[in-house]
Amino acid sequence: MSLSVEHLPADVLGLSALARAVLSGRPAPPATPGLPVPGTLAELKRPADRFEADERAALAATLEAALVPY
Amino acid sequence: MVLAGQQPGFLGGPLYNLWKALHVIRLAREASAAWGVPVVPAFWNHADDHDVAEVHHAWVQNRHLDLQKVALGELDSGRRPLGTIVFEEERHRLPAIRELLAELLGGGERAEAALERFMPRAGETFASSFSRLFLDLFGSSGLLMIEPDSLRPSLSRALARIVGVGPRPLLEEGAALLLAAGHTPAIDPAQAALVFRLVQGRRQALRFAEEGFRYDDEPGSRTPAELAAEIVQEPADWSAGALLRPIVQDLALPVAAYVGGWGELAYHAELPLLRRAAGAPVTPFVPRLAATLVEPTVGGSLATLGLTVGDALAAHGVPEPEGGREPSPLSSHLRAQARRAREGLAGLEDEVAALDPGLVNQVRRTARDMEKLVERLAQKVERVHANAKGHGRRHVRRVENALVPRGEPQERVRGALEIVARHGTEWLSVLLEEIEPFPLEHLVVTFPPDPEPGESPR
Repeated sequence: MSLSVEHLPADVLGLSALARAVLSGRPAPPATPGLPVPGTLAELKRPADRFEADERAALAATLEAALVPY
Repeated sequence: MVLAGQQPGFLGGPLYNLWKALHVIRLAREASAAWGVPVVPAFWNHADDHDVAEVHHAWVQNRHLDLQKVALGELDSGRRPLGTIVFEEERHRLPAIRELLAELLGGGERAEAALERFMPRAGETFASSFSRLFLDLFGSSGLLMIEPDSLRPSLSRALARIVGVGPRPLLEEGAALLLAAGHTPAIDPAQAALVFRLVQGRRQALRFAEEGFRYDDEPGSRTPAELAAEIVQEPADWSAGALLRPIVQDLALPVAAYVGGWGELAYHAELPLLRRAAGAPVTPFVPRLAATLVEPTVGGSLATLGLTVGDALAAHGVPEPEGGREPSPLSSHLRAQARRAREGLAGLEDEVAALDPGLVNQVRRTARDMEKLVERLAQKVERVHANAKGHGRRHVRRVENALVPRGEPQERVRGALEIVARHGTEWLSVLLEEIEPFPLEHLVVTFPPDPEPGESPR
């Protein structure tokens, strides 16, 4: 199957003032102090590992177990 | 992980749920390749939510090209979490709904297969039906569905930690900073339902009070430390309201980025100070993919009307012909009545506030809802009026109901069932390859023309 994809401006359906301010201010919009909004992969930094290996393993096991019924 | 989320909806809810799923899959894939570590795309199936009225129905186009509301039977809000509402064949009219949908979809093998996927089944809940569908559609692309019940102990620990820091001044300052930047905070911390306790299966809201937090109907209150202790003692009973949920998620899960809509960004923007105080990471926000689907019949109607998709989206419908349509006097009367009723309610706000300030928002919401309902009725009156007068109305109806149904973006109203019933699911994989991890534009996705009779679909 092939799809035809056309790109229209983000505001074609209208955008709030906040959305406009964020889009024009990425990655650190002054409109949202303290909330980063990356616009490229380079601007999305790999986060620090906050979980120890055993914590990650326990979390993964919990999330996997929850999928078992499906 | 890269996370998006939404409350579970009947038949998978609006199309933007699918866009969120596709977007996190794409972004996780790109981030994983860049960082050289596995990054899991995850969807928070917000089964704690209790707004049944928002999710118990879907809009499907009927053979007259009108949108028809198809709703599960015998459901009232009751403040029960969506994850605890178990579907029953007869009570929720599942066989009748399936029959109606089969008729609306026009039959055929693909429609049957789509119904099998999308229809909730007896014994499922809103949440499990939604998880099953999304895992069916996106599980092979690695999407993880997360229901809050599976993580309740750690979520409640996170919630207790946030509550314990005394969030009121931090949220109020966060809202004030946003206001100082020229933007109205999406959620007023002073009025918001911040924490919910499950009491006999129903969610009871706690909001800020003088001393800390209080239930809506409670004379006294509890300090942040007292509430935190209560949460720790009975972790199974508690959940966060919309404003605190992002921080709870980020404390309990290793979230590298959150993909969400502009409405979500508006309240995430209130949280940085509370995040810092609670020791939560600063999670980047990525505005989600926005897209409109165009099927061949809609493309044909657009061509007949001499319009492009962009024209119809920009005008939020089919633009008025020169000289305008002959207006319906009745719709003007309806709007005037609604305006008067809204003004009447606004005039009572002081009186209501004197009784209970917490009720003022309900007065405003009631006025907004009432005006919205009347507006819909007025639009319906206009449609009926125009149908009786005009020509080419079928094309107008088809375009408007497909691209800007009920005056809203398609992705907010229409669902995926009809699309999957007509085109299968392969288009989702094709679209996944087309989208950008950081979309800057609104995508218009057009399906190929229907195959000629005798030609097999690819």
